Amino acid sequence: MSNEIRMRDLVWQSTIRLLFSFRGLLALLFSIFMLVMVAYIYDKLPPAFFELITIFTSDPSLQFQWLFFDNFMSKLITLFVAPMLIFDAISGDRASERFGIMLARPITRTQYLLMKLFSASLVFGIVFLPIVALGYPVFMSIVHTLTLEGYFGTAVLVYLLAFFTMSVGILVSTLTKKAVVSFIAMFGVMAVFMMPNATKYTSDALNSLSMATPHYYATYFSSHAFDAATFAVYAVVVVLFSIPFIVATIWRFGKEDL
Amino acid sequence: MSAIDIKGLAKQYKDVQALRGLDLKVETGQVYGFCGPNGAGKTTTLKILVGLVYPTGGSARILGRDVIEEGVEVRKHVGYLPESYGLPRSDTPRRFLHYMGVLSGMPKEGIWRTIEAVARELDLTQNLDRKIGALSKGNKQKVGIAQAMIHGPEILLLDEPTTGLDPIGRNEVLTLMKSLSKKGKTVLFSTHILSDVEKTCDNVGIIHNGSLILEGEPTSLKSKYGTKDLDELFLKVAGHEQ
Repeated sequence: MSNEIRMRDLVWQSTIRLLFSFRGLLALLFSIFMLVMVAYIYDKLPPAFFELITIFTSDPSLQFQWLFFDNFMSKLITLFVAPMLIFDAISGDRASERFGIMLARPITRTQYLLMKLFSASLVFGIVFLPIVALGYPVFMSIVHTLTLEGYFGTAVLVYLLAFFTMSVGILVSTLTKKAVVSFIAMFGVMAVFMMPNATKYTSDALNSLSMATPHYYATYFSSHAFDAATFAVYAVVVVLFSIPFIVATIWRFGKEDL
Repeated sequence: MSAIDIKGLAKQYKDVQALRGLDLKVETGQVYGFCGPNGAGKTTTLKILVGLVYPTGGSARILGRDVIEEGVEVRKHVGYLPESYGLPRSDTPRRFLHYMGVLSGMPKEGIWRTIEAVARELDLTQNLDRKIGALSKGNKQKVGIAQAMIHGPEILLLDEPTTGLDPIGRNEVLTLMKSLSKKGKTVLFSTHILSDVEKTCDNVGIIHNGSLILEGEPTSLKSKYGTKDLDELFLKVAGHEQ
């Protein structure tokens, strides 16, 4: 027996189990719901709605991205979908007394935490990808000026925003064994992070404050023309926002008596 | 080299001193009964051995390796059954054991065969594809023991493995421990049911208030203290300690 633990195997196994769990099913339903809703909304929206968006941007391709990614997807994802996939990753195992079984295996606590984090991120990717991929031709037919790189670049940043949300979520999940508390705490933390970005157009102070949140960078191309260099920098910035939460989780959970 | 070697092990929880300089040795191939009343420190000791709890003093080594410094390497050779644990109710034992096999680093091609072999050994074969939530308590305990055995560890740490089982289930678990010992495995199991110890163990250690107050072969201990069973012996020794 080799007994060599490969992170890839751990993440893959955990991903499959999460995907076929109740939460995985809910995430898949979200994916289907989003596809149906988006197609429906764009088909039915009155022109006045698009005119309203011109307050923020006059570029029709950006109007689309502002509505789809910034105003719709990023909020749903950071407040509901990503938290749903991670909120009881650790608290669930704690409440069901599963640490004794899971952590008595030849894996480190860091591996266990990363397994949970990456598998939730992968499941999110699996449900997010169809929305983005199948959505593109639909939106392209509505907004002819939509650019491929602007659309998928923004999608990648929103994915990284979901990863950030999960990094916060895994830390919150280690602090309690009550799943409900974990979910509400995550909702609260993410709302605090999201608020300055959602209200950034109302004052310069809020606009400055929003720059201290990953949401600003993740949804930047919703109101600015896409360019690859800025995209690369902002992708790194959003990931960097996640790092302190991951480190804090590993530090806190690593020294805890279970 | 002893399979398990504990020296001066101490654990202080906030206001509670759970272990006070515990010394314990378990030789390879032994079935060792770790006895004591509730709150004596049995579970804390086992948790330290698998790295779930950090000691505040002393040391513990398994197969010569420090359980904290070399925890991952140690756990490759150790199977652990916690006192209370949650199994995924909607999962089947086969899928759950496969997951545990992957977490233990077993090679993919061997896992399914090993699951069959372990299930045969525990008489669990016919329940492998039923939902865990639908299994009886005895069969759930067998799934718990199977997850501890799945990666073929040399040492098994079982925390109260017979608690809550009916006499048939208890007997099955005790027989299993004996048969594992015959195959060269070392079994350290905690219990407060001293009759289980008498039936099964090569050696017994009695822990009280966080330290070992008595250790030896069950029969020689009984004759030394002139008692008819271990229950009486325990009451005599523990009463004297208090």
